[in-house]
Amino acid sequence: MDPIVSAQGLSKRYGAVHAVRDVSLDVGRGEVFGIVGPNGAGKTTAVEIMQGLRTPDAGTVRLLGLDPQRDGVAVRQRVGTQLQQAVLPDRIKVGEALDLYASYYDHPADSEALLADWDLTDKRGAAFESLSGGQRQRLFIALALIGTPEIVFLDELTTGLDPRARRATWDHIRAVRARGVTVVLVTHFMDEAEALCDRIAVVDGGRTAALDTPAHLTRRAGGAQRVRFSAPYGFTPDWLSATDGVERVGRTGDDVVVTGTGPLLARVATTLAAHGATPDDLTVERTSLEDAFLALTGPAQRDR
Amino acid sequence: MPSATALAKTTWMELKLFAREPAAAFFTLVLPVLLLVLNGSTNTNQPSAELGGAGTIDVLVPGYIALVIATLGLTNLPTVLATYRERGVLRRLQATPIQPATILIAQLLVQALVATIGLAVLVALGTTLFELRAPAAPAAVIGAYVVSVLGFTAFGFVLAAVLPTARTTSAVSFALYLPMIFLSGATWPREVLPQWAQRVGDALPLTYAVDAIKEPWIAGTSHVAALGLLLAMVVAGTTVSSRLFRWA
Repeated sequence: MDPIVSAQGLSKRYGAVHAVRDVSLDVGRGEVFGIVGPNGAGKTTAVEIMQGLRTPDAGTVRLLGLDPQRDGVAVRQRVGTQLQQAVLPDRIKVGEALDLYASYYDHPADSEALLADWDLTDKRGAAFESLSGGQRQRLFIALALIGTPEIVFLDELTTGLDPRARRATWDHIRAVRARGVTVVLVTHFMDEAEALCDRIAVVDGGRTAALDTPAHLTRRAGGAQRVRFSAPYGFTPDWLSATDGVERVGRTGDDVVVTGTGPLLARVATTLAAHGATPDDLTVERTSLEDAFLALTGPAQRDR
Repeated sequence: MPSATALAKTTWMELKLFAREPAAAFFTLVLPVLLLVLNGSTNTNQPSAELGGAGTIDVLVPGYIALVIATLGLTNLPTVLATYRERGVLRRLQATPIQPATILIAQLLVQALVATIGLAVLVALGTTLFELRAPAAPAAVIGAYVVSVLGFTAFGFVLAAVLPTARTTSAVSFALYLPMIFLSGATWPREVLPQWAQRVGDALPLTYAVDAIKEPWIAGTSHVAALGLLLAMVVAGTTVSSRLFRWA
């Protein structure tokens, strides 16, 4: 099937700042697609170009098979969005905002149902300025869905929310996807990308540094694993370093950290048992998406 | 047709938002009414040879109507639009199917509706309390009123489009607005001002709105030069502001 978003070689410069250098990606219909990267990596500029809100200096965008610059109105009828730097007038009420935005679309959703879905029914008469951060984010998601879109762009949706509100927002995003809506999620939280996204584009220094599933990205960041257990100071026996697959034995605080490859946990456990050492806190640490992210991005990966 | 509904809904919403800003409503509507009540209580509306046979109230009310129009176009509109742009309200609208023209026409309609409320209140109070005489040429007064609203709305659109931030917009707007209302005949007749101040007033667009509304009201003739200048403002302002419109 044709991708719902196709961006090729996007580039955008603001004076001396080359915000986007070379971003290319395809988003499939029904996916939750993550765009992750450090602050200032060009994520927001790139998704705003994809939505036709900014004109690229170079590169092409097809959104729903259309050119968002030329067919702007037709595209925006079918696209929902939550922008990082956008608000509503202070004194507009929640219900008024939904009714107003509903009037902009050919096929508006039922605003009462959206209020109920996003737990805003009690807040229908509340002014925008009186809403909490979490309530605002729920209102922004509801507004993104008011035109019954086929795809929604969500930019830094959970930034500034407390952990409970973040987790609640994740459930909301899963609910959006369950309606069959494609989601493009911009975030700098790795746990969020890992929990929600089918595929992730890592953007760094204005470029697509990697594009894959979270599991593949993690695996690609290196096969090394770490096994960790507590041991008395000075416990660094030679026989542990000599075990198959072990590359390095080090210490952090009270813990011995064994780095290596293969079935590391089983081998380390066996060797320890053979030497009469049976620590009760033997654990294996997998490489996280965050490790992968740090390996893929950062100063060493940039050429500016 | 969604765009007609969108225009109606946007206009109604902006009107409600205007009504929820007490300071804006005060400056726009209460100030001219206060001026009318104060001046009406200290002056009679006897015909005076100095005023060409008109009474003091007959001369003041057209000026107050122009004052309402200027307050809306020079202070209200640019501040609202500049704030919307700076805070990202327009950026969010850009991501919807709404057209910039719909947003601007809604703002124009709000200007026209609020100005008409001001006009109605001033005329009703003037007539019932202070013996305001009916316009000599009502159709010409209404025509001049409409052109003045369009001209000052276009002026406001240009200010909002040209000035970089909300802060500079409100500063520049007020710097233009204050001398203009005092030197144009909108708050008191220009005849009471010193010569140099009248000369300055000749260069201010609000003077022409006051004259364009006042002359058909009192004398029953149209002020063609003033109308021409206001129409030029409409054309130039619309052209410039539609070229320079920015979402963000």
